[in-house]
Amino acid sequence: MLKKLFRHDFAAIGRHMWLFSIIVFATTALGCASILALENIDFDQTSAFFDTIQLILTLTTVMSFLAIYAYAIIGTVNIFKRYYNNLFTDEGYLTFTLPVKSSQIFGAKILSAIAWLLLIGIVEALCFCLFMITALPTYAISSLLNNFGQMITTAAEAVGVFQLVIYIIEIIVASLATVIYQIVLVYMSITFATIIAKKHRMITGVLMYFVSNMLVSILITVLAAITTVISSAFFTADSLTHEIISAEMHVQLIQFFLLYGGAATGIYFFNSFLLKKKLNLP
Amino acid sequence: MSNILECVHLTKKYGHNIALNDVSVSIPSGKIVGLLGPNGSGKTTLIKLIAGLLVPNGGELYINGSKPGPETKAIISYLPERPYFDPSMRICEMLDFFADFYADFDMERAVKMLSDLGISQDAKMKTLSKGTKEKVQLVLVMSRRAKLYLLDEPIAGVDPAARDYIMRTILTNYGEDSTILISTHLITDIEKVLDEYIFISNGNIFRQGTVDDVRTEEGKSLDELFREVFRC
Repeated sequence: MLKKLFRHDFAAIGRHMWLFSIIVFATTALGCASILALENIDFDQTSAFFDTIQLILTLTTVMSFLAIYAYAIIGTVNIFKRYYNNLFTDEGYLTFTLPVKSSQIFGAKILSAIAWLLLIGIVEALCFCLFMITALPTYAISSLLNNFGQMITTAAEAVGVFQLVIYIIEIIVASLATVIYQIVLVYMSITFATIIAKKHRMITGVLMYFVSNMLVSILITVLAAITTVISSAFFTADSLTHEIISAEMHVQLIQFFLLYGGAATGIYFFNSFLLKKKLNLP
Repeated sequence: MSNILECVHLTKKYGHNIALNDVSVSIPSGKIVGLLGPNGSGKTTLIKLIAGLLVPNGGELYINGSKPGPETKAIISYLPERPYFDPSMRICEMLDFFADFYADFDMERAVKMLSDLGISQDAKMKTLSKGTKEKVQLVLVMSRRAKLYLLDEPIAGVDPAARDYIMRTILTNYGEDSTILISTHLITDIEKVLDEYIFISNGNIFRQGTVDDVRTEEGKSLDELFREVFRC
């Protein structure tokens, strides 16, 4: 059932997002064309016509660049709006009469949000790359790529290829944990605001998000500080070797993942409980 | 005959307002039951509790012997007062959605009913009129071979021709062993199809019985009895 819920939710978000994705690619193409035109047209001629053209092309470039940011904002808002509409408006009458558990409904919402945020990230990265390829000269791009390659090589030589791969995996997993934490926190804030507030649900939800985020962040910082103090008690500055520093970095990343992953899990169960036991659709 | 629904001392409050007060009622399988009462009497609250949309403050509720949950939702087909569609969906997508989640959904029946009504499956929900949305929703709900149909005010706010269509659809599409619970205050239109009735007022059930008994023992129609009982 989770798979079916995910499939339908992913498609429902996609009904708007595919169109936005096509639009953002089109505006990026337009922006790139404007950059090429600005580079290739001779604007030295003193003519009002050329001044106007230059202004239009510059504005098109700026607007298409801003469209990429707008796409990310619209996409994120669309995902959270879908959660609210599908669960707490009239659509909730269908969603909550499906033969599935509340935790499965919530799980599918999280999975589709992760999938769409990743897709939005990929579309944005592609658009930025297109801009970069168009705007930068070839030597600058190859210099950038060379520097990136050198950075990876230096890191691999310093810690070893295996260690570097482990670091990258840990960073990806820890980042994913924070993304999931943010998603479930926003969802929980929306649920809580819908249950407790009869009016001004949006403001209540936003306040709820900031307050809970602050409280969880304080808790995580305190826990992280305690574990750092404990682990640093086992060695002195003189005993710091390359291996110890490397091990300490692994501990920090794993700790980061565990704390945010733990917070996300706790919020997941709390929100599932709210949806099952406290939700009363009007 | 076994009971499809058992409510035992069921209570539901909204803040300080009591919507249902210590309600105990049983509904047997294979009957068409009218849940009748004036506006604000607790009909919709009772139906939402059975559908699993509300959580009771007290008492117990058993549907086919189980407490509300995924198993009971699988055998209940619920028609709410208002459309519950995602407006961006097409009708064909709604059909796939129902077929995906409800094992008892009869796609052929749904397609035939839509075709009889002349409604295109490619139409988007947001482009449909209110009446057509209600018809599509009724088609989806009655295309399930459910054990219990919960129809909340299915004929309120529609014209007489549409009422006839709705009643015909309900009667021709439910199985012999299925139970239908219809909430309404428009008694005349549904009286002829009801086997049993439940009168509800101010969150209390104060009368329940068969429609035949009302006719034979009291020599009245259900509508007359309703007007007498709920006289303002």
